[in-house]
Order: sequence, then C-alpha cells, then structure tokens
Amino acid sequence: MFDLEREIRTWKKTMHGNESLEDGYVAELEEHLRDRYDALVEGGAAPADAFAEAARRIGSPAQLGEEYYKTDTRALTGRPPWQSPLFRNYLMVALRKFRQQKLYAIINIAGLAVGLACCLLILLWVKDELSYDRYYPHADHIYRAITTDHTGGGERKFAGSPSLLAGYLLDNYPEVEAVTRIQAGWPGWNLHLGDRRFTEARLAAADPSFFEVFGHRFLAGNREHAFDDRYSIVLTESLARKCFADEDPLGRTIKMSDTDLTVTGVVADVPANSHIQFDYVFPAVNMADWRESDMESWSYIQFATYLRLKPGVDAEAFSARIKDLVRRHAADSPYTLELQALADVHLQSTGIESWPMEYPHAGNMIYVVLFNAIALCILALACINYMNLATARAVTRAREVGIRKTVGAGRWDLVKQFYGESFLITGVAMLAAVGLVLLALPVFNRLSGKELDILYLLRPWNLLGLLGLGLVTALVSGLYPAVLLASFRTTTVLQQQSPRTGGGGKAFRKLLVISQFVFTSVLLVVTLTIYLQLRFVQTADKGYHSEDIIAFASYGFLGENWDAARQEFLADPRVITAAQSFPLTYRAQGRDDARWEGQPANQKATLFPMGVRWDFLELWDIELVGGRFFTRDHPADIDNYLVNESAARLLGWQEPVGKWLEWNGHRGTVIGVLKDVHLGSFHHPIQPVVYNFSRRPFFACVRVQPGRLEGMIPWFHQMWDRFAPDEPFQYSIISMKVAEEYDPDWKIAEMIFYFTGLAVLIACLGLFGLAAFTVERRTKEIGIRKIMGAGVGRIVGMVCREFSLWIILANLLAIPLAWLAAREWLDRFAYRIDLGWEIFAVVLAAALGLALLTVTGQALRAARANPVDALRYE
Amino acid sequence: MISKALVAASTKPVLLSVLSNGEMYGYQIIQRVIDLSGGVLDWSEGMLYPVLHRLEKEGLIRSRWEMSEQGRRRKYYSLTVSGRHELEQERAQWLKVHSVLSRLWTPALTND
Repeated sequence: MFDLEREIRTWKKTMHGNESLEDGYVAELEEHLRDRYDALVEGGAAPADAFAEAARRIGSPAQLGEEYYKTDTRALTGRPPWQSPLFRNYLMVALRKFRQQKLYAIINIAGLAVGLACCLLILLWVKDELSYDRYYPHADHIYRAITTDHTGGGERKFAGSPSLLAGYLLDNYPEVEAVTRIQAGWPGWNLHLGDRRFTEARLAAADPSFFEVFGHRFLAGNREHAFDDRYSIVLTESLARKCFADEDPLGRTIKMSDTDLTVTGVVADVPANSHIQFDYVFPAVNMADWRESDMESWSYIQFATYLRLKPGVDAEAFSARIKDLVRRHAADSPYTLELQALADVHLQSTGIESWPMEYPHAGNMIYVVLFNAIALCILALACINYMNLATARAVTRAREVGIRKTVGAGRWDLVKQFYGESFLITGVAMLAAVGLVLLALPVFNRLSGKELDILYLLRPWNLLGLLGLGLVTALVSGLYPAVLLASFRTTTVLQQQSPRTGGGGKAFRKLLVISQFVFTSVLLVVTLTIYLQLRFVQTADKGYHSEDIIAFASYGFLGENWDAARQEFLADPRVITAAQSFPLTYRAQGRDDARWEGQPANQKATLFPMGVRWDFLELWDIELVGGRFFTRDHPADIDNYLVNESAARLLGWQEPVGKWLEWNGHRGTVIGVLKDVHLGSFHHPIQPVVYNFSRRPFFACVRVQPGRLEGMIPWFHQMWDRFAPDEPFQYSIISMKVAEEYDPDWKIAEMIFYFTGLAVLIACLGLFGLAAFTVERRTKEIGIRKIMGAGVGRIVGMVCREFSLWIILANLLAIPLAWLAAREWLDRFAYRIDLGWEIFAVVLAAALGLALLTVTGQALRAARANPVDALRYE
Repeated sequence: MISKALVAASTKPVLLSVLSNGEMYGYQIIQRVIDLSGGVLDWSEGMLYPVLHRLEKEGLIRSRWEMSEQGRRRKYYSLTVSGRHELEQERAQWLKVHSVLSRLWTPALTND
C-alpha cells in the first residue's frame, strides 16, 4: 500500500543528506513535490507513479545541491580567487590586536618606519655618490693620469702629471682621441669687469682641447674655436648672467688681474656631481706668464692630465704601456704613471694628493660601502624588532591559533594570516617612512652638503625599488613569526598550557637580540673611533702655532709698502708679529729635480718648496732644530736653504747644516734644520720640505694676541684699504683653514653619528618591548617572589641580569668586526689614534647602561606593583 | 525543443516577466511558463529554485512564506524596484536582438 507521508519523509531525509540544501530550500521543494503529485493524481496517474514522476522532476539531491552551492557562493563573495574568504576577518583581528596592544604596534611601526626612512635617505645619498662625473658624454672613455712618486723607496700618488705628458700622448699614441691639461683651485685670483669683481668665481686653466675631451655643452660660442686666441675666456651660464645680465656676453672683455680676456663662449653650469668645478676657463698657456707654470717639463707636475681614449681601447693595457713613459724621457725620474677612470675619480682617490684639482666633498668608496652597510644594519635591526615582538607576543595569540586550527584552518591559512599582518605593518611603516624622509631631507641635505630631492624617489624605477624594499622587509620580518605561530599544536595551546615554542623559539629570540646589539656595538665603536680621531687631528700638536693668525693675499703689501705696513701693524700692541709668508695651510706641489751633497747616482727625490721670509719662525712658532734661520743680520743667507727633518732624512744627511743643495737651478748651503710640522692634514704623511727665501711673496700673515683676532677684522680692513685701495678686502683665518681640512670628514662623521643614534634607538625600542613583555609574562612569578620576601632591588636585578648577559655577549662578538671597521677607517689617516681596549670598554659600558636604563623602568614597575594585583592577574 | 544555452540565457527575463504580473510561488511559476510556451520551455524544478534564490540575493525579487487555506506553506515571490528596472533593460535588449533577427529573416523589400 502506497503511503505518501512515509515516501516524503524518506525523500526529505535524502535531501538533507546534502550539506548545501538548507532546511528552507527543502521545505519549499517539498511543497512543490506535493503540488506536482496532486496534479498528476488528478490527471489519473497511480499514486506511486505520480510520486516517482514528481520526485524525478525535482532532481537528485546532488544536482540540486550543486546548483544551490553555485548560486550561493557566487552571490556571497565576488572576490578574486587569491583572496582568502577570511580576509575581512584577518584584517579585523589584526586591527583589534593593534588596538589592544598599542605599545607593541607603535614600537613595531615606529621601529620599521625609522629603519626604512634611514635606508631611503642612505640610498638617495649613495645613488648620488655613485653618479659623479657620469654626466659627460664620453665619460666611459675619459681617464686621468695619476703620477706615483717613488722617491726614497716610498710611494706617493698625485693627481698631477708632468706637463709634457699631454702633448706627447696625443702625438705618439693613436689610441688617444683627445687630451687636455688642467689646473684649478688656485687661490687669490681676481676676475673683474669694470669696477665689479668676481672673487668667488672658481677658475680652471686648461688647454684648448678641454671642451673636446669632456664635451661641455656650449650655449653660446663655438666649442672648436673657443680658445683659438690665448686671451680668451669661457664662462659658465650663471657667471655669464652675473656679469652681463641678459646682454650677449660673446666678444665682451673681462680682466684677469691685468690682462684683458675676450669672452668666446658660454657653457652650461657644471652639475654638483662633477669633480671638476669651475665658473670660468681660460687657456692654460697664460699660467706660464702669470704663475710661472712650467709648460714643458717632465718634472713639473702641477697640471692634471685628462685623456679620452678611442672606443674599444683597452685602458688597462694602455695604462701599463705608459707606466714608465716619464723615465724614458727623464732618466732617474722617480715618477711612474697610471690611468684612473673618470668615474672612479670621486670615490676612488683616497691617498691621491689632488692639489691641482682641489674640489670639495671628495668622496670615498669606503663611505659608500659603510653607508650601505649601515642602511642594511638599521633595516635588519628594525626587522629583528618586529620578529622579536611578534614571536614574543605569539603566546598571547596561541589560543586564537588553536581555535582557528580546530575550525579547520590549515597551516598555510595561518601563515597567510600572519604574513598579512606583517605586510600591513610594513605598509603603514613605509608610508610613515616616506613622510619621515620628507621631513628629514632638508636637515640631511645640510648635513651631507648635497641637494637630494624626494621627487627622485617617485621615478618609476625607484618607486619599484621602494616597493621591493617594502616587500623584502615584510617578507623577512614576517617569516619567522608566521611559521612559528602556524606551527603551534592545537591540543597544547587549548589546554591552557603555554605553547611549546620550545627552547628553540626562546633561543632564537635571544639570538636576535644579541645580533641587534652586535650591530649597534659595531656602530658605536666606529662612531667613537671617528670622533676620537677627528678630535685628535684637530687638537694634536701640528708643530706650529695656528691660532690668532690672519693671512692676506699681499696685493698692497708688496715691496716698500710692506715695510710701512709692517711698521704700522707692529705699532699696535695687539699685534705680536707680522711676516710675509705663505699660509702654512696651502700646499705646494713638489719637484723632483733637486740635487744635493752626497746624492747617490740614479737617485732623485721629490722635495716640497715653502717660500719664507724674515720673521717666519716667530710667526708660526716652529722649532729650529739646528743651525740658524734667515735673519736680517745675515742678508747673504737669502740664497741658502733650510730643510725639515724629513727632508734631511730623505737626503741621507746626518748633519745637514753646511751641506750644499741645488733647488730650482740655484745651488745654496743648508743653514738650518726645522722640526717636522704638519703642513697638510693628518691624512697625509709629513712632506720633505725645502724652505727657500721667497723673492716674490704672495701672502702676508699677522699674528695677534690670543682671542683678539675677531674684533680686529675692521681694523685690518682699514689697513687694507690704505695700502691696496683697488683690491677687494680678502683674508683667511688660519685656524679656520686648518679646521676646514677635516670638513668632509666631519660631514660624514656627523651623518654616521645620527644614523648610529637612530640604530641605538631602534635597538632600545626593541629591547624595551621585549622587557615589557618579559615582565608581563612573569607577573605572577614576581608577585610570588615578593610575597616570599624578595625586595625591589632583588627583582630588578633578576630581570636585568638576563639582559645584561646578552649585551655582554653581543659586545664580545662585536669586537673583531668593530676592530676591522674602525681600522679600515683609520687607515685613511697617516697619523692616527691607537685602537685601544678603552674604546671597546666604553662602548660596552654605554650599551650596557642604555640597555639597563631601558629594561630597569619595566622591571621597577613590576617590582613595585602590589603582589596581590599580580596574583589576581589573568 | 529549445537549446540548453538559450533556456539558461532566457531564464532571468522570463522569470522577471512572469513575476511582473504579481506574486507567485514556485509551482505556479513553472506551470505558467509551461502553459505560455505550449510546453516548449520545459523548465526543471532543479533549475528554477536555485535561480529564484540567486535573483533574491541579487535584490531583484523578494519572497515571503504564507499559509494557504488548505494549511499548506507557500513561498511567494514578487519583483522589487530594482527587479523592475532590470526587467526594462532585459526587455530592451531582447527586443533589439529580436528586431535584428526579424529584419534579417524578412525577404529584402527595402533595398531598392
């Protein structure tokens, strides 16, 4: 007997067997089934057949379930397939966690943001350093000739090369396309146009081929014929505008000292990232008249020679071929030659004395490497912070992980979730970092002396790089936390046990903190070394008195004028002494053609001249080691010489006084020996010097009572106007000149100081977070200890002991690395401090102090808290 | 018989049009379609109900349960405002297709 209700019950059961068919759907289908059944029976069908037909028309549960599933899921999400269906949930959980644990979130984001900002600034700086001199059209084929002086078995490198080299190369080597000689960086020149003077303008004296070699862009005039006439001058755009405003400068006349020069061209301004800086150029041949430059000598190396090789020429092989060129023309010459690529000049010229081409901010490859390392370190510190805090907090997330796993999350889902969090934090940090860079860039530009632009970051490739940086940061910092959290065992974490992150997790965290402090300790050691060395070079005894001395280019103070001026100077009680003397801060280039008593055959020596006159010793307080100085009592001495101790050693003299010496073609007797003094910076060894009596003094110096100099400038101005009414008042203060020697070093040092400070800050932030967390985890333990009678001091000690051990271990590990880094930097100085254990001890103490300061606050808070609260905690 | 693809494509406009005449429940809808098409559009229930479900999710129709006089539960469907708009659009599109096809199939009278 057919029972409709029983059949329908069975049918419903099979329908409910499919999980996609919800109760409501089945109810609706059941009504339909009944309607169809009724209709069929009414039409005359047998009840059993009618039911079978109606049920068939509705379809199988599997078919129906599939249809419903399709419409359900499509209507629900509409999301792309790679996006997790729980994305919103993840985001909400992450934001909720941030809100709950604001401190950690802020530490994380702040640390990462500061780290990324440092990184970006440094990358901008490095990029600029690497861009030097690449702007010239033929940059890849241009080389500078470097001279190595082998006098006395030593090796000194100079950016200058023999003046005959250029012409010889062009005539005899078909590989050479073009070649030019340059001198620049001379002080005391004077460009004038009517009454107006342009004393700030920087000159370059160069051969006519200068523009051909470098390919400067001419805005007016003709590159090929600019220097057809030796009395020509080419101006840069900004100098031309300064001189002639909007008028056409071509054909106008400008006076250089007393010579009229015709403007034959205007070139585009030289970009800041070129090592050859000038505002105007005139033919070098004039230097022979004006400054006695020797244009045809294998000994005179005050010109820098730049050559452009033909494309395809092997520069290295060519460099080897010209190595002994000088010796082939001047037997016994101590000089050998080599080529240096133009692109290397800015960064790879350490140890090359570059007097003929002085330019500011000489770079150094070691700084590029160092800064890259610092950027990497700082970013690593920030990433480590993130890893540390995220894994430390992992325990608080354990239950969440357990529940997610219980309801079906796979390991990969959890990795995705926690990775997502690190991407979120890195994203926020990246935005903050770009903001920070915007804020810091003006300060950073002032520090570094560069003109970096944030817009540079927004170029497509750099933007891509920025994204890459963020991506790498997120990947690195998120990796460990994600893997660790996802690996928690469901049963353990849900049974209220702390998850077995195991000894492994804790050890890893320790390792991270230790490596953080290794970085910071290395940075601190380097910073401290730099600071001590720079303080040393500025306070060390240079062997002469550099304070309270003012120097003038002696236009008005020549000949008889000087005697009158000197009398007036000396009449003032504030003045100690006045003398015509080269300021000791100016270095002259040496010559190798001296001859001396006892000179072995085949030996030459490069000596450095210092033109001096009466009162020189008094002025500079240089010690006379033997013999006598030039005095007015011995007028015949002016044909004789003095040498310094280094020169005496170099020439092989035990008793120099009375020996003969031929210098610059004049033979004289050595009448005295002066103590070695540091004429240049401490970067270079003391030079062997010949003191000769100067017949054409260019400079006058006045030494005054200590502390009076500043107030006397107006008085000097008046004096100047009386004796040199036509010349603009120009002076330099020696102590400032001495300090300027180290300006580039200080610039770099200052940047390193700030970055080190930030690195320390980031490391401390991390430590702070970790300490806060440790204390929080041990709240109960600390409460029990207090109840059992432990004092505040004991508890603080307990917390601090662990951290102290880490710091000490980190410092021990840092020593070798720090020693190498500091040593590398110190090697740039010929005279340097010892890297004693004291530096490492101080750094250890500082790191320990900082760390304890960071930790103690947290420890104290826990130790002072009421133990009852602590035990009620959780 | 009409091809499966065309049946699927026309489901939505047909459903919306049927409901534009007033509230109906599933069985009624199917009966109405079969009647109107003379059996050519033989919809299966397995297709109808999920589609109704989807249209409701899309906000084109709404539904409510009601007890009939015989004590049976019925789920009635009706058009929403956006359902009416959707129907207008569907109508315009189908008419366009229709007019193109009719013109193509009518012997060319207008070309000369």
